[in-house]
Amino acid sequence: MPNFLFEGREVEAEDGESVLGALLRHGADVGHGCKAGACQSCLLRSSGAVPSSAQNGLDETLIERGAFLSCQAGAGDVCDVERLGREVFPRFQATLQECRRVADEVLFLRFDVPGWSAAPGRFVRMVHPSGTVRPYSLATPAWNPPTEAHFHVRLIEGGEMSQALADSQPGDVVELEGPFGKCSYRLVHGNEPILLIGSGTGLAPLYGIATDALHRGHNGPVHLFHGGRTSASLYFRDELSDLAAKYPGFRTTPCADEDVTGDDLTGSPLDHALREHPDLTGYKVYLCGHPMLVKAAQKKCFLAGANLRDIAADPFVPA
Amino acid sequence: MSTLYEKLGGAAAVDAAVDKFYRRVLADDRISSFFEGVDMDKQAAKQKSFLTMAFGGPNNYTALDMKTGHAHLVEKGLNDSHFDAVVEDLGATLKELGVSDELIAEVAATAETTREDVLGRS
Repeated sequence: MPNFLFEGREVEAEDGESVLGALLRHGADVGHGCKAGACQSCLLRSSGAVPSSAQNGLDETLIERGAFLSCQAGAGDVCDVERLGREVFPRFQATLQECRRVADEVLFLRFDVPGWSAAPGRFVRMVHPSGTVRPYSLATPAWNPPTEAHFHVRLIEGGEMSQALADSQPGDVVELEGPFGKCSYRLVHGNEPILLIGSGTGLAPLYGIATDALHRGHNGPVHLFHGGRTSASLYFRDELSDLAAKYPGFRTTPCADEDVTGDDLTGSPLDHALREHPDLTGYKVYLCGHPMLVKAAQKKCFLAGANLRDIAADPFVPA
Repeated sequence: MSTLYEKLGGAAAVDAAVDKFYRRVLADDRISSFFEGVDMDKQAAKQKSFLTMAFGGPNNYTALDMKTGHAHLVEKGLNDSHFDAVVEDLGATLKELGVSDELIAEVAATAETTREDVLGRS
């Protein structure tokens, strides 16, 4: 009998039964969905080894903490399992070094975080001393020390976290939990074209990913489309110009819906991106920002020929 | 005697087919509305499970999974014509990948075994 322990109690399992199957048969209250290793609803944590086949597609942070898909692990593969607790994720002290407005509604924040290291583009849960928690993407350029963490935060009228951050001073401390997510540069051949499409502070991870690709010597063209409501809301123009000057393979196309000035294009960054790149076969695509844009872009980029595994999408869902 | 799954090329064949198949299904006006608003990554994983099953590969599908998994679509009007469209898209995908007509017919026959469960008539 391939029995195992679940949160201290022995669970009697049958040969060939999955961990999830055994738990559900005994009426345990364990979240689950597809039972096919796809949806990640049935994640549990094991204190011992688990077969790598039960960790397919999981976030590195989760794998490091022993998380596994209970529908994909045989009862005989594990000894001692439990539900994922919040304590799975370590927290790091982050001390504010710099806070400035880069547009009417956007704050730029730079923290010093001892012991921290994360790929640009992934996200963290920021925990304010007041107890408020919000997810923010890492915009740290790849050439900065790994213990720095940069964020672009949208100022929201009456928003608890963004207002607290706007009022903060250098030396103030928050905690960072993470990193999470798969939205980061993954070197495969280093010469495929990269397309980045984002709106608003969706630029934060896209900027981080672009610097990472270019800094690591990516040879393919890297084209960033940044959209905003007005030309004035598009921030980080100097930083993007510097990037283009330093790396000939990098281009940026600013797009705005109204009050469009200079050479900015009118309309959605997605429409302009697809007009200029109608065939996305072989592209690596990164999408960040407004959930409506990200969802539409994921579908349109897939239909335009990009493989689903080559499309990293990070919708910013409002709190 | 190699199995259908082996003849097609196993897991690698599924990987080669899944994006092409899903793209074809999404672009098919007859059935695309059934995919509105779904999480594409999760949907692609389901497509992969379906292809593995249709290719005669190892899968954990049960008739009940098929039935419960499609019940909300049957409520929205999923019927035989939509099932036919999916099988047709599957055949066209395999043709694009250079699979022989004979093997395509075998795959279609395997997919066919799920018709009654998917449409909730079993």
